Amino acid sequence: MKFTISRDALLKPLQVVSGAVERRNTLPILSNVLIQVTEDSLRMTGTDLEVELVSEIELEGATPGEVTVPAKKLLDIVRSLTEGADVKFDASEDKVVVRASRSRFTLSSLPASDFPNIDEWESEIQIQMAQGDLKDLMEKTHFSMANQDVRYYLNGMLFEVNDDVLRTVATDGHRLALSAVSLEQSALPHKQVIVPRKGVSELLRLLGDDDAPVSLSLGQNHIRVTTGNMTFTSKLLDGRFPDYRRVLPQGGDRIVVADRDLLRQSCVRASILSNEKFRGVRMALSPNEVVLTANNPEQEQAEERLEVDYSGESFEIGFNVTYLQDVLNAIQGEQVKLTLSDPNSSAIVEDNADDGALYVVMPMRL
Amino acid sequence: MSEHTSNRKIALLDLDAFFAAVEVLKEPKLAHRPFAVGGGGERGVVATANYLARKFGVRSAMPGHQARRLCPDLVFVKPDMASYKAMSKQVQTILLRYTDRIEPASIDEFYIDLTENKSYQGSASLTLEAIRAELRELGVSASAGISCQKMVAKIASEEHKPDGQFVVPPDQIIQYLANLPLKRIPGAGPKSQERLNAAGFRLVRDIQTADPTKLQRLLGEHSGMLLFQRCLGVDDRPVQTTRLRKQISVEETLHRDFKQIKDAERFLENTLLPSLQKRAGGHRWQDLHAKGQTLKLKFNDFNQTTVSKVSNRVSPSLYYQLLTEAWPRAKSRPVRLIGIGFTLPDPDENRQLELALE
Repeated sequence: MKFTISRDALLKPLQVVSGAVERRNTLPILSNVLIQVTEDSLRMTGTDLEVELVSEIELEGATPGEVTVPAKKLLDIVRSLTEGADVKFDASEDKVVVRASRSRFTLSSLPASDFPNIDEWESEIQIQMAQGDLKDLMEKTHFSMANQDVRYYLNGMLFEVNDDVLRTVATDGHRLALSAVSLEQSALPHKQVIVPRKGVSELLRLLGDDDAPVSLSLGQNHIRVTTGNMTFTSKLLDGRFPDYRRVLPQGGDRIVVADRDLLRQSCVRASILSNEKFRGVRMALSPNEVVLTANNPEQEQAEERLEVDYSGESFEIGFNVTYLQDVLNAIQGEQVKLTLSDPNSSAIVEDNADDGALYVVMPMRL
Repeated sequence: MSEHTSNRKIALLDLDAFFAAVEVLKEPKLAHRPFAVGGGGERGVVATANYLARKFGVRSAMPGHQARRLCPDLVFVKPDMASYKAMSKQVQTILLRYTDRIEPASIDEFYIDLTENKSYQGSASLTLEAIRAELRELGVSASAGISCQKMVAKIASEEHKPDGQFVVPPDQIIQYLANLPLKRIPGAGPKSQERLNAAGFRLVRDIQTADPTKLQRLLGEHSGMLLFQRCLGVDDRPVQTTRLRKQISVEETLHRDFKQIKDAERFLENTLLPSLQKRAGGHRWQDLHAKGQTLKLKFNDFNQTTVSKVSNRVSPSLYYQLLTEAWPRAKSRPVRLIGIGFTLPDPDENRQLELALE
């Protein structure tokens, strides 16, 4: 196997592929990247057996072959070469020699035949959309995923397809985020899959903000997203995601409309003196005013006053300020709407001008 | 492992044979003789043995007569808690000169968060070397484990014991843990280990590559996931500088073994309950909030048993009920020690309300 490629063409795809590489090192070959070369193409694959990332690049006049090399070392080498350098690869027996101008590296390799493949699977639903739309849909909800929860099906993001809508839902049991986008296709069958946390973060890293097309395939146990020259495949989490519709509160009649950025800044400041572990803030509502207060175990106190639209009776409710901040960061509009009912029931937070996303936050006891 | 936690520098400093070291300071002649603190009386148990005594197999928690059999020249020294506490305070004073991020885990163990430490260009290893040198001058030696989290720091502190230290860098945690037997992971008790062994899990490596749902079936949803995470080096627990009292308990070794539950009940009423109430600040029982109550019995073969019940307030009568429940487990072994206690509710726990997901 022999080929030459410019450092700049190699770097980005190699970075993306390395994202999937196993960090726990439970199986030595999983810290390697698989390199497969034909006369006119280079294909690189990284996997941790759960997530697989493949990228393809065009080559000229290469000598075909395949091999695996340590991903992190190769990435560190390529990254630190000077911009515009040409990189030459030359594989023999159990070594790969990488050369660029006056640098020369000899990397150890493992046979490509030992590199694990994701099992064969069949796609049941295929969706075409702009990559920016998919990224936006995921960014609106990803922060609400559980992390290392014993309810392992919460440690991921629900993708739900129905007719002409694609939805993502994430919840950690204290808050829930829901976002939807209309598709150009319709009459798609109803299907729900849960993508594990790692898959979600790798996918977010790989997707750009632009309109370039991506295709999304959903199978029984896998999801695949293909962009121009990258293919992302992840196993799905087994388990039944809770029915998010049952969690959406009905009949909240205390409605507050606030300037999103002012409320966000107030939360940031109040959080400084909230209890580091429990992060509670007290939200006191009175006509046209919100007062946020936070206390910590050292008896220090923060108080933030904010003018809002509110015409109900005076009322107090507590929240984990981090949950409020996460939502206020995810919403992009100028104004947010909070719909509350009582201090022990969940609140809805949404963009006052856009119903594409919805957030449910459970309060804290004061 | 999140970015935030893998950037931490956490050390566990463990004072070597601490009680013994303090005794040598008080009586330097002891340095050259095998001796044990505690265990001297008719029914005592060894609290600590110096390294000379450990060569004979004398261990903490060993009954005095057994220790004497292993090492006939063993000297027994009466424990002097006041001087151990005073020395522990002196050690803390030294640590506080480096950082205030200290959590005393016991009288002779300290978690230290050196993430923000600036001494020695921020090198945790060099800082610990300096701390240990200062302690040596004080007359006590210490061992340290250093990593980015508490569990690994604690395990690593045993590597170069006594008077040594060992670093496990964040990116080597998985490999370091992989070769350890499961019993080195805190929280995997003897019962769980039996079950894990039967299912073919012996080393941490076996857990690292296991399916977490299988572990959950084996050990229960919570413990299974916890063990899986611990083995993968996940431990986000912060170093807690202000320590909440988690439980209040009292126990006492009996002057003579009890064979009748009547004697135990009388002891509960006349000695343990008044002593527990005093320890809890002298409040009326109905004013003492709790999460649960526990009673412990130790038998004359040194095996022990505990029974616990959930309760919102401390109820003396519940201890009698627990005693009645625990007593048959004696299976005619005499009882040598009785203890009672209750766990305190966490003041901030359960404040965050849950979504009705199910």
